[in-house]
Amino acid sequence: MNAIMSRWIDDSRLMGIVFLAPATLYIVLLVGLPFVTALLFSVSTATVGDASFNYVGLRNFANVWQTPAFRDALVNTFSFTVIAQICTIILANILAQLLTTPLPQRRSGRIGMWIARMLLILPWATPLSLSVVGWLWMFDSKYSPIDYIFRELALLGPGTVWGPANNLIWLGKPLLAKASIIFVHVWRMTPLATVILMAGLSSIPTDLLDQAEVDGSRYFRTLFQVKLPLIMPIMLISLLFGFIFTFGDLTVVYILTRGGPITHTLTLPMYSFLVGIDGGNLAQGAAVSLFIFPVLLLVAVVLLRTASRAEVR
Amino acid sequence: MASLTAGPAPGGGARRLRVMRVLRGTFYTTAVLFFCLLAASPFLVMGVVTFQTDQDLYKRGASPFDYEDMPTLEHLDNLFNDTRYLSFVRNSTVTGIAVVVVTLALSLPAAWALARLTGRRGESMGILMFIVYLVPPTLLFIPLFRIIVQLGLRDNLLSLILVYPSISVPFSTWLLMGFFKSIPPELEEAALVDGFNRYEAFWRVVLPLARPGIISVVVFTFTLTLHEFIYSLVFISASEARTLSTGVPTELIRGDVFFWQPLLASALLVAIPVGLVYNLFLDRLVQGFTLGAVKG
Amino acid sequence: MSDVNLQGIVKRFGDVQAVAGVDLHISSGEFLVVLGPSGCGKTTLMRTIAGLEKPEEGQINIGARDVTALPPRKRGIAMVFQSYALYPHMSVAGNIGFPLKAQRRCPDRTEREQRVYQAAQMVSIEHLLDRRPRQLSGGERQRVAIARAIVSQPEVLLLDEPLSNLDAKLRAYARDELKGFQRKLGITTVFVTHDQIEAMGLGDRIVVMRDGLVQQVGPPQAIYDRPQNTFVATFLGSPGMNLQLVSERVQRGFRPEHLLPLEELPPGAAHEPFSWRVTRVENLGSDRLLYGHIADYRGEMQLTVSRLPSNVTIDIPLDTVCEFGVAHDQLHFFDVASGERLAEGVAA
Repeated sequence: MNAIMSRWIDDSRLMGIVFLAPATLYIVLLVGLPFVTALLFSVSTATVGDASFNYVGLRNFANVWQTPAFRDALVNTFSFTVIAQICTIILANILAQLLTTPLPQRRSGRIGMWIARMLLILPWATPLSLSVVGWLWMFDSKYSPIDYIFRELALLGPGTVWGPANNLIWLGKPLLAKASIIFVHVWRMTPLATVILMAGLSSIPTDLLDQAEVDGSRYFRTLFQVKLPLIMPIMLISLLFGFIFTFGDLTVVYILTRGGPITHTLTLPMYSFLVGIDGGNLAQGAAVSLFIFPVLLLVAVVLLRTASRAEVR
Repeated sequence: MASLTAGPAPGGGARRLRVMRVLRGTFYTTAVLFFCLLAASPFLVMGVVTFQTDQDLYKRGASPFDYEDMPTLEHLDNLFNDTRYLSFVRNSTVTGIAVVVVTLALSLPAAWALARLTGRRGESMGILMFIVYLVPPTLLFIPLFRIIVQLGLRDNLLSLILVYPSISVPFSTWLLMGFFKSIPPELEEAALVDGFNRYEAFWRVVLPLARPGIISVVVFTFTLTLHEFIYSLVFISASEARTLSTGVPTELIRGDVFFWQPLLASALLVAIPVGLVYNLFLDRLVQGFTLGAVKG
Repeated sequence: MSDVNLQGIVKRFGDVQAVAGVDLHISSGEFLVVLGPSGCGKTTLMRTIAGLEKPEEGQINIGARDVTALPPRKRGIAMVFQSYALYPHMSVAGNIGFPLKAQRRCPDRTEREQRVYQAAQMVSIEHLLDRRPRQLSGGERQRVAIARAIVSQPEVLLLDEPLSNLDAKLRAYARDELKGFQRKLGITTVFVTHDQIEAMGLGDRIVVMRDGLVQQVGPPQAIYDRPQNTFVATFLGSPGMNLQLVSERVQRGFRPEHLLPLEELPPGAAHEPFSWRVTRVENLGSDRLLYGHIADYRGEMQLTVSRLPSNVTIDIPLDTVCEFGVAHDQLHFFDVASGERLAEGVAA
């Protein structure tokens, strides 16, 4: 008996299985099972009140596809994500360049850097739903501090470029509302992208940068022909995270506009929530959210493959 | 030719260099300050609004950035005593701690197994973990809502404690895998030679060495539960069970009435400590984001 | 080709003086080796010549130009790093052509390709131009780095331990090739190393550095034969010079190969006798190293080494007193306090 016990205890393969099992089981039950359920819901008539399974084929998808609101949501989700990612990666590159510029090492400089880093990281560190509440105030139709600044700059108000109204009413006009949502996404994702890019930049061997200097390369040539190609894989990773976080986000739209005005800022997650939870139609809600899946899968596969193919070192 | 001008030229060159350096420094500082202001703008405004009187806040055309009336603590008092804010804080804390415990219990052994499982299988299992982390809650909230209702866990914090690890376990496993891989197997083998069995060796040798990784997992998991919005919004609608991320934007806004000062104050009170903690652990979290995905 | 002149170069990092006042003249076409232990400031000195570090004090001239305030690209130098620093995302041709593109000295594409090919030919890697650096062996990488350094026809070539990443066999070959190739181009070359064999074998002159200061400059043999202080005496040679206190103020030194059995000393030469007990013998094939102790003037025993070439076949019994000696003209005398060499007359 004791011998069997001790053989079990020293079996490293058994130990691997024992250690891996709980997490695997958990993920199968809470990610795998719901995913399959979502697939089943989408081909049934499930509602909150009635969980009985009636197979209806692809009818939910067809119904959803014909709804104008869904079309809006689909287009918005893509355009918000793509535009936000482009802006984020440009801004993050500029910021990462600024923050990795070597400065004369002074104590005050180091404390300053620490505070700067803290302020810059706040958008990513703060729970999104809380910081978006802050933006709700920033975009307020009457008291918006942004409008105030524009008025002080004589850009807004009677007799000015954007006048004569005293307020822009950010979240009330289709185009401005879209811009506001994209802006908040960029604001939120830039810190993460910046710190990821900074990690990439600081992993470039200093010899290579010295070599570029000796070879006679100036700032922009070194940036575009040495630094950026070298951090390309890490940049793709940061894009991947940005894309997936933005694409699947409900918070920003839910708090700022709930999809309005009308359906001008509706996104797939928001629409899925409105149909599935608010409207109680689980089947159609699941069908909407499943449209997200192939896109995410495609993006993830493409980016991960490019990243692993790109040469590091 | 150069030697002829050698006298005056170095002085002039040095001065021009110094001017260039000052200009560059000024440009640099201005640019960084601009981005800092942009990033922190909503929080700076929150800080101002929190202490403004109603009269001051809702005066049209007046500057929203300074005080005409005396700053007041009335709204903070109001936030703590007349709203459910403290109960949101308590719910978030309870959920956070419980999720941290569950996450550690699941991801520590899994990460060890994956780190020691060499060869292609270990690698592909690791990548699978990474992909699970990329599955957004928006994809799963509807079926999970159904499951939670079926289990009778609606409006119960247990629903969140059950579901949140589905986000934190993959990332934590991923992060800890890197830490375990950096611990040389010889240390474990030495413990085996010294008379421990494998489980004891894991407990007494590996875990203490992985402490920095464990701390980052704790920080990451806790903040993740603070951040999470969709599940909390969908699973919990009773106001006494709400957490911070959904309680503040849903409960502190009654219909069309916004109580701006307590609303913004409550956001700021969370942002500051979380920001500080993130700043301290930033490098480790970035490691988690980049480490495995880009094979160093 | 130009000469290089350094005057009073000081480079500090915080409170540390990496280079503490160096004057040096490197003649046109010379192969100068900077030799010293790690942390002696030799690499910093080279980076200062390259323009990667700005000295706090002093002046650097390349040819007639004062380059002290100039960035690297305006100095007419090229440099090979210890790691070779090849751009991993560019092909070999891309790597070699990068300085030409960066310096915009060769806008015509076909001419550029031609120059890249010529540079590659010079180090016989023209068949590797399409490869990526990671597909190359260590020796090939080193050649790519050298081709990239010479493609822009620099006035001065700076080499930072370029052989230390090669294995021992390849290193001897690469040394030979490097020297031949430098002679052919006649390019002024500064070569930094901590390896005295490289230094002795390659340098027209050697600069020995320690703690940011130049200890001695001269042709390899001269430095070996007449070390200026005890540091140079013990740093060069393997094993280094034996040192022995002969009074409170004077130290006596002799190289292991000069401590010989009496019968091996040149006949009739005046010599200093040493009676010692050999406690250990290391047979290295070409040489025999004998270890033992010899008492200094206070009677304290000091570890002493003798090196006998393999053609000396005399049998040395262990733990037995043997009679050895050093010819008088092979004895060196140093001041104890400063470590500086004493003029021959003073010591006697």
